[in-house]
Amino acid sequence: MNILKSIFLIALSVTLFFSCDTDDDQPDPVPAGDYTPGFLVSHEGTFSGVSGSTSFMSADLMNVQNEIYEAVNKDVVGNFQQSIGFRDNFAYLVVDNTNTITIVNRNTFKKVGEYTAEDHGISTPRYIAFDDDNAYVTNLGDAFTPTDDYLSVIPLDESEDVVTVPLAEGPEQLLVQNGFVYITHKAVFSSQGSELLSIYNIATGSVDELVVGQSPDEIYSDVNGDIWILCDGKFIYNDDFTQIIDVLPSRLVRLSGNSNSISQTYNFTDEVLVNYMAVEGDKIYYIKNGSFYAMLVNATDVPASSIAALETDAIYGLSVFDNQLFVSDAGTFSERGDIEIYDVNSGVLINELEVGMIPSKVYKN
Amino acid sequence: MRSTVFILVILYLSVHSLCAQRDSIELLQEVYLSDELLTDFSKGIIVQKIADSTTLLFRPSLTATLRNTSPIYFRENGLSGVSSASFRGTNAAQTAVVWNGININSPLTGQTDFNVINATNFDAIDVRYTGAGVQYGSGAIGGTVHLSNELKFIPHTEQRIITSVGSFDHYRFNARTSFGKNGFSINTSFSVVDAENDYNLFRSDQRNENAAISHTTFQLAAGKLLGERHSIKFYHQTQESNREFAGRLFGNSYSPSNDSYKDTFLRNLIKWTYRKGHFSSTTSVAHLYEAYTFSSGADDTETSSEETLIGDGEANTSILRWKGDYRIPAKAKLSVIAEDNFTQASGLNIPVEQTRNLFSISVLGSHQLTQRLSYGVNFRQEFTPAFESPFLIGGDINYCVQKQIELTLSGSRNYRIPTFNDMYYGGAGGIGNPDLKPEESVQLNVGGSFDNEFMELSLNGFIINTTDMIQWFPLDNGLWSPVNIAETRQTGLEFIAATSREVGSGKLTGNATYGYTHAVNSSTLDRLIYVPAHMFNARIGYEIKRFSAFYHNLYTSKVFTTVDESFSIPGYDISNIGLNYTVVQGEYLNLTSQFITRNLFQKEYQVAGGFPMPGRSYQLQLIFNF
Repeated sequence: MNILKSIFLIALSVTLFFSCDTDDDQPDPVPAGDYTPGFLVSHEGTFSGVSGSTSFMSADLMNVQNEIYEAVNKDVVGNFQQSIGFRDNFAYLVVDNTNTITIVNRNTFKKVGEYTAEDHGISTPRYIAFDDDNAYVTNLGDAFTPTDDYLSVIPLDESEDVVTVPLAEGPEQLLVQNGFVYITHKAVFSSQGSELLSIYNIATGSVDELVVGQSPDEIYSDVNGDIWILCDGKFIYNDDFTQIIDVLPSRLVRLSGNSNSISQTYNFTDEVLVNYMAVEGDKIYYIKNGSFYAMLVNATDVPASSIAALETDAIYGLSVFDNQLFVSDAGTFSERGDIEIYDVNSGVLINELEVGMIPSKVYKN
Repeated sequence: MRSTVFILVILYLSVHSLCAQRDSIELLQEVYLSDELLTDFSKGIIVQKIADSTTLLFRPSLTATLRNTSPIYFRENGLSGVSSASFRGTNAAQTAVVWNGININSPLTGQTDFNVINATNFDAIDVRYTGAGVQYGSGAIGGTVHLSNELKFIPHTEQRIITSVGSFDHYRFNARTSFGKNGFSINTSFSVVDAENDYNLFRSDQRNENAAISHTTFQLAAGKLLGERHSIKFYHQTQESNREFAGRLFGNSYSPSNDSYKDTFLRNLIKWTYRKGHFSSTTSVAHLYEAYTFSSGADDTETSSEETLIGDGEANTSILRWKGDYRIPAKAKLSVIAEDNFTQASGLNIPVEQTRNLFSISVLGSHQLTQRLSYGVNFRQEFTPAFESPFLIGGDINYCVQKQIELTLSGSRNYRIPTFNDMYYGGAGGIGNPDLKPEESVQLNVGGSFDNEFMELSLNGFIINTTDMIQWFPLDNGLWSPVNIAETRQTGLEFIAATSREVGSGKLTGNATYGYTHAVNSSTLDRLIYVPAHMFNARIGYEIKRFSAFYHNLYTSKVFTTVDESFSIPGYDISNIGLNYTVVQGEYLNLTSQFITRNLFQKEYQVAGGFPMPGRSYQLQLIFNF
């Protein structure tokens, strides 16, 4: 009997473990489809007349299909596809200049809906994130007007009106966790840049601003629920732009997920800017000077040596899934780019796949 | 009158060979041409004259005139948007635009926007096929486009008024006068274009919003002959345009725009010529001013956001030129040109005012060796502290096979200097590179032409190799900056034909041009973006009594929009028709009405990715000559 009880308890705990895993990390397992399982690559498109697009890479990273939205829907999303967000069975293609977020079934990539300027009040949308009730979208408004930027809170069931929350200049990436929306202000169209992180309290609707560092951009949460922000830093030039007279260095910031206060900052002292970071589990990955680095979330300082040098011409995005580092290579920005996949531990280049025009981030699908 | 005869004689004597002078356009003896280098030293070069009446058949922009009559490709961001030329597969900064003998490509961008030039303002528009760095300086690589005002010194008084209305609220007005008497001549033109351009975008219920243009130009040319030896000529142009930059359509996805762009140009040129015997001297002083502002949010009622300045800039160029000519009639000609060109530029994206001085010496010679064979050699050296300037050289040979057939061979080494933006840009997203050097290009042309009383034909083949091409790339810190990096090669041929003959009791005319271009990046061998392989245009017209009609066709093959040939926009084939009726044909007044239908078959097309061009449209035009 005891043995049966033990077997039952083991079986139960395994079940609970898996269900927990499912609940926490992947709320709804995505059924296999044309474009699942595998990885999606978001592409911005070009100024010279190519629309933004999405590519699909198979789970074994051996095959790639480009321009899948166009193949399925016989249409394109326009310029520039800034990012993709995911919720349940849907992928949300955020296209800033068209002021649209195209909603597709993430298995088939068939268009099922759309957020628009007219119906949802979005304007130059950059990134999207979700909780159970709402979609949260960062908007730049008129790109060259610093004072019209905001967060859109769009009820998923469309039962209520969209709420618009004014924000400081240049909201970019965002993260939703424990009732807060964390928003970095990269301020891409500002000459001054920004040092702010906005923290939107979903329950009260209030916004707190926190100075984190020059040009905050990438934002992730780690295995402990802490929030990591990469501040890109900035070069300061003399009046005629002939030489760099100062460097506002890049910086990694860890924010406590419990108190929303900075628990540690990691300054990059070299006069080299760090613009790409990704987090998986208990490790932070970033690119500096064409090489990638890994550090543990509880490290006291940034590592002295890199894992490996990248073979990338023009780094335009970094993502990490399943201990694989995905580096987007935009090439000359006027030709198809590549995704290079490295083993995060050995630094070995696993594969390289030709994708679409100006690839940025890779997403697991 | 004696002075007129003098000029007539000079012009006559300068050309005296077995062949008809096809290359140098028909010389109207009583007319003073402002761009002497176009006719002199061009015997081995094909120069295509675009007839003044032809410009009236198309939309008023220089883009429309040249696209429909020559094998130059224009990358036009929708009707009235920014329009840049690709001549023989070269880029926009490698096609020089020459106003009355002066290169007017912008020192800021190196280019001319062909949509801010109204083609109906000029007495002559000529397209010179091949490089002419010695004659016209930077950017004269693929070929040059010449806009000239003529001064007629014979007694005359002429006025012309054109007024027209067309689809998408398109209005055009143009008034021109020309007067000559007692060795004095004056020529003025005033033109206004105003268009909403809010046409329906194909496949979409979307209209082409924020695409209006309003554009005003005033020109004046005046000349006075002072005795037998001296003459003074003055040329002026004021040009102002105010444009909106249209949104873009990809599939059914529309990106709206509320950007607008204003520019102003002021150009003044004064020339004093002294002649004595076989010698002449011309001293010119010119000043060119240009300014632009680029803003976002203007007239935007929907978001009520305020107008925000995105960029602005201005440039002042002063030119002092002396040209000395020595001519042995019917035998040889030698010219020496010394020129100083001083430019200052400033603006939001050129944070500290920058100046540049270019001093150059050019020597040009041509020689009629035998009745059949003539040749020319020319070279130029420029001196500037800004960069190392290459030694430019050109040469041409013209051989008359028989009276109606001639063969030409020419070669030249040309350049394109870095622009102020290339060297001194500072601002959002980019940084200039003060260490740039000029792009260098060598080329070879072979040609043949035939003409008789019914037709003119010419065929050209060319090869152009350009090194140290300036391209902008992102630096490690994400800022874009230019470097001398690429090498390109263009090979191709052009065919130009014109015919005219009596058919029945009327006259049948035909014009056609065809261009084949294979333009590649020399290292990847991929074809260059926005260069079609095939371009063809043809016009056939018939006139009888007071009626005339024409049919025009334009074909352009697909263009790649990425450097790896992976994306392209399809080619297109557009037809236009027009009907003219001379309502009044009197001694004092000639009134013609013109009705033109463009894109007759409602073809969907784009010439720049994301910018659909209009479907069928109509224009009614009235032309008063008195």
